[in-house]
Amino acid sequence: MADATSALTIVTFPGRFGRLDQGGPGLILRERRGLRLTEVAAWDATGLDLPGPNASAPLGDGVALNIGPDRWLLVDTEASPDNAAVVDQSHGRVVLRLTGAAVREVLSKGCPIDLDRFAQGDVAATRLGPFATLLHGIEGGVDLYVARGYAQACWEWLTDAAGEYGYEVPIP
Amino acid sequence: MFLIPCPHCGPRAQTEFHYGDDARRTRPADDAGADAWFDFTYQRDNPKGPHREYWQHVAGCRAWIVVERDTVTHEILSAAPAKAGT
Amino acid sequence: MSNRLADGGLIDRGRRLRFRFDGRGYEGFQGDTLASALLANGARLVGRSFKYHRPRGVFAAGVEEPNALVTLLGQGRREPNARATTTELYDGLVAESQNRWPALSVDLMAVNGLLAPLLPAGFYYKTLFGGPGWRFFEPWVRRAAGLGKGSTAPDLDRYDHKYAHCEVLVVGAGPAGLAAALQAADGGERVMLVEQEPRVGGSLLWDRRTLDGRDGPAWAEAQAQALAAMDNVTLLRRTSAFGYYDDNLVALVERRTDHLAAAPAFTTRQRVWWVRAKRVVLATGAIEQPLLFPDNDRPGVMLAGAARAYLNRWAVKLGSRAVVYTNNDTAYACALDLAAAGIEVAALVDLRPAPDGPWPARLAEAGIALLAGHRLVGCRGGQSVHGVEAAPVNGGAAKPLGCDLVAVSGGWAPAVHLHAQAGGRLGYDEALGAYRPGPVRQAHESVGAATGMFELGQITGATVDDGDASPVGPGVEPAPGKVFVDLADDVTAADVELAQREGYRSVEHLKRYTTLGMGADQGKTSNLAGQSLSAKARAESNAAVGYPSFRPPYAPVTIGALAGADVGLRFVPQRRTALDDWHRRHGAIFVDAGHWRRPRAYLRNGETLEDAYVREAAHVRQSVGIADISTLGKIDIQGPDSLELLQRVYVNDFASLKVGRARYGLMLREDGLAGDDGTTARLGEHHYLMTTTTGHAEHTLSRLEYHLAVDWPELRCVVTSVTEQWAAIAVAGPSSRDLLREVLDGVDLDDVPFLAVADVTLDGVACRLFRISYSGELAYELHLPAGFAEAAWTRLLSAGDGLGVAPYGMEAMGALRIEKGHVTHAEMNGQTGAADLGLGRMAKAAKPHVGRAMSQRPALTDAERPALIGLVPTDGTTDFKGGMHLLREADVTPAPSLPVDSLGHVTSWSYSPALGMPIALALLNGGLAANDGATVYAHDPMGGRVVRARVVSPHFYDPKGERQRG
Repeated sequence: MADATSALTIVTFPGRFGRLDQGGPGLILRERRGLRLTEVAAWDATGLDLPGPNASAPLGDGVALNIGPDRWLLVDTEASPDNAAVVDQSHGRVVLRLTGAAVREVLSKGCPIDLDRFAQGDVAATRLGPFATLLHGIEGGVDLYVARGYAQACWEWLTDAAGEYGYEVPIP
Repeated sequence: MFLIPCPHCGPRAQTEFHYGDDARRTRPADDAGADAWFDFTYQRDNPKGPHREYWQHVAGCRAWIVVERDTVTHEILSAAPAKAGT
Repeated sequence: MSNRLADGGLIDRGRRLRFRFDGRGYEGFQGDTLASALLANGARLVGRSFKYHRPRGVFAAGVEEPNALVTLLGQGRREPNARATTTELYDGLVAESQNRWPALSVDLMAVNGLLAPLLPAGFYYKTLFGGPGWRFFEPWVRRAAGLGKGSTAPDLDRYDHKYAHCEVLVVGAGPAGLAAALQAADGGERVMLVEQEPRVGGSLLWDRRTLDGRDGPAWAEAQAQALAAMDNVTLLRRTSAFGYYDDNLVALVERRTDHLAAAPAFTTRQRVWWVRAKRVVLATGAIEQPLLFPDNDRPGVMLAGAARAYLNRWAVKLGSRAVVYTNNDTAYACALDLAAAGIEVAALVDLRPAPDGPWPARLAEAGIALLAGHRLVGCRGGQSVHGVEAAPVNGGAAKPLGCDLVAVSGGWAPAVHLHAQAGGRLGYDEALGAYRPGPVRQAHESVGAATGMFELGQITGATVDDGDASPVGPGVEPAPGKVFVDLADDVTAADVELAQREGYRSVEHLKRYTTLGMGADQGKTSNLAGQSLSAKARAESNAAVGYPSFRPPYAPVTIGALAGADVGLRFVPQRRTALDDWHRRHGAIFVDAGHWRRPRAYLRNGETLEDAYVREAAHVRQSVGIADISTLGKIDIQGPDSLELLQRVYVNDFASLKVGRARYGLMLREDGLAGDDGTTARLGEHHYLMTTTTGHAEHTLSRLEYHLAVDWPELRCVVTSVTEQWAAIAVAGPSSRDLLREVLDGVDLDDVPFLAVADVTLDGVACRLFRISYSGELAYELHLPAGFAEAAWTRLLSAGDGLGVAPYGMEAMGALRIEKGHVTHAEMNGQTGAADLGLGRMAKAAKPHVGRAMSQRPALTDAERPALIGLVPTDGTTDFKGGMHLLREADVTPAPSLPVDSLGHVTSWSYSPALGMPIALALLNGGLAANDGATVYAHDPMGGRVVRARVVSPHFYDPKGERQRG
């Protein structure tokens, strides 16, 4: 079968939008497609060295995010934990990469955590407006994970919030 | 609009949580009898002062936690995982 | 601008702004408020009072304004009850006055004034409860009373919210706030300083003080610039703190574009900030209080501080001859400023018999007469004040004083609102005649005038002039007459006394009975005076009388700002299946199912909804249809104790379920009533996939997590939602197997019996096939990774060309399941148990499970309980309606007469393509056992219809289930 269909097909148009007279777009927004996402949920010790609360750690070629007590999301990597369910979520979550000078400004319109204290490598399962999201601090921005069913609404929420800072959707 | 100190995530806005139940009750055994089940299902105290409640961090780590909250001042006195050892 | 002083003021005389008020054109300057501009144009009359329609003028210069409420128009807006005193003037502003008819100067409703004796305190209470009173008065009262009219048009403006975190939040950028912010910012912590005005400075903008050799406004601006230069400081102007909540959460509203003639693109009009601060400094200042005297509401009577603001900040010549009336030192500067601006001061009337300190001498120096030990006993005028009468406090002849301006000061009350909202206590200060902030409950402190401390040097640390004045002064017994306590609500001293006489002694009752302090200004200039009068009437102290709760908002906030950006399509977030866009492109009309939107039916040319769903359902029965059922909750359950979890949450037994098979399961709630149902498949030794109904997916997941955390922590298993990972397509109809045979690989469909599960591939994509039937036909559910759903869906449609495969929506699905007697949330409504739904047989397993103990209660096993039945119309054609009540023949003959005992109700109905007539499911007392074949009457009391119906089995179609097993 052909490639998987993006949940954002009808809303992602490359280009620059919103207010652009303040030194360029404040937000660069794009979907990270084709990632392999695996949820690991353990009922006992996994035998692996996985990151603790609110943290991420490199694992193999990818990264492991702690997303709750005894629960991790593996991104583009795999593991064989003991005493744990390993569940494919590659299609269940949409990953958006937010970079640019206004990432915090945009997210703070709906995210109640203290984003000034959210650093590279940090992980936070939190709200963005009405959406339950997972934030992962990356160099120069944030990867935002949201349930596929809400992805289009979340994209529209972000682009609406980003209008006053200007935003760019790069050509994939 | 208070902050709940999630044992896993740290202090988070109340809007990320859902209230679950009175945490001072324990589920009776299946054969505990009608009275015990009636009390468990329907009877709730409405204490003035410290109270123990189950909350779930639904928009966060999804942990069920026990929150000790003063019903007069809204002060959160403690929060701990509902499941021991997590 | 006939009343503009020749120079001075913090206005930009180079920028003239045009505006309209009640249709008339005026001019003002940049820096004006609507109030200052109107006053500068000599427009004194700005509104009519709430109840009596008395003429009213500008009384204050800030948010405390009780009178000058106007409706702002233009830019597609109609915003009622805006305070002219806080509305910044911009070029092209359009406003109109309120509560007058036909015009402000000729208000026929002013006849209310003559009827005043008929509108005493508690008028509403008295007429609402008892007699024909309210019905008689209501139309008239509704027309006459009230404020501005809101708009019913959509709000064209946009709003948003923002969260912020800081170590120190300083509320108010007057002298105290500026000093506090600078001190906090020096430590490098994150500091937010918010100021409701467009300029920082607070009282420094008008009280002509000198700090460190600079005039007040310049000193304040220098502090602001120092703050703005620091990275760790956020300074927000035009931003009011309106609510103080738990854990130091302070709500602000920032007015971002209200002061602009044209708002920049992509900028919201107003923004609500939710600030979580480690520490809050309340530098909210103080609000001047009036002194009460008869007819004290005439236009031209205003607070002395406000008079100074209009003189000094906005260069408005307020009149030609003034009387200043005070009980304290602060108003002396007002008299001096008036005189300096060329306004004759007829006298300064001071309640105190022998005022001392430097101020009386300064007054004498300026040649202004002092009437010490006097009070005002009368006030003459109509649309403007003409004069007052002053008499010795101890009695004696009244002396008339001609004037067109009366500046009043009853002292200054700390603005303790946010302190009180935060849970801080208040203490009544007898000397100040006001409350000071007391012990706090949260991490905040009050500084400066907000504490009742008015020494500028001490507040700022700057070297200041000798202009300090004490606001301390005695109270006043108002002379008899029409003495207005609360201008905003037209509450008089007589009303307060009447409330006491009638037993409304508590301060909360006083508020509700008289409406004291219930206006848009929330009694900022009236509560204290009203409480003092109440204290006198009760012969108790003010402290004993107390104060009503301080509630947010401190000042009115537009509903639009509170709603923020979550309006329109964003009001509820839309949750879309992976096939949503296909549905949209193929004529689907949608229906909401929680946040999900699901296709209701696919309308072809000219079809009605009923045409479409009957066609779709019939097609499933005859051939094959496909439906998007991705919204079903899907929960992955793994771990050695997975089976034990299932055994404890389902009423029926799962121990015998083999790998590769699925089983329908029913869950009860702890109270023994039905909670949710669905099919659970065993995918591996310790691996299950549970499905739930769409509506209960979140709740069921949450309950499983609860049980595992709280009730059964010993169970070694984990639950994970995979609802979003897997799209699901129902393939239903006698030709479904033939269709799937064309597209699936890796399986021999003849080896997939009813309730079996198989791993299959579709064009190379790994899927799961479940042979499950909701429609009662030979049917399958195909679960596949969501990103491949659309490709698979279109593949099924094209593969089935020879079979005529067609999509079907929720309505058709509903028709099919009603024909089969399958229950859904309409029947599983939180009041029905397993037996009521015809599922009692499932609950026979002898194992403990959630809800078992309570399900055995006598009330839930009573044979007379409402239970599921089917209904058909006896005429074979008449439609039912959801919610219809089932009645006896005697109760509908000759016509239904209510009230009547209902025997049950219709839960779902549909036209049945299979039976060729409408059918319904219903809950009926005694169920089928007591009523099979009986005739009942389904009554819609709203529509007035009665349908004669026969009670039948709810399994209308293929009751033995031969088709789904075929």
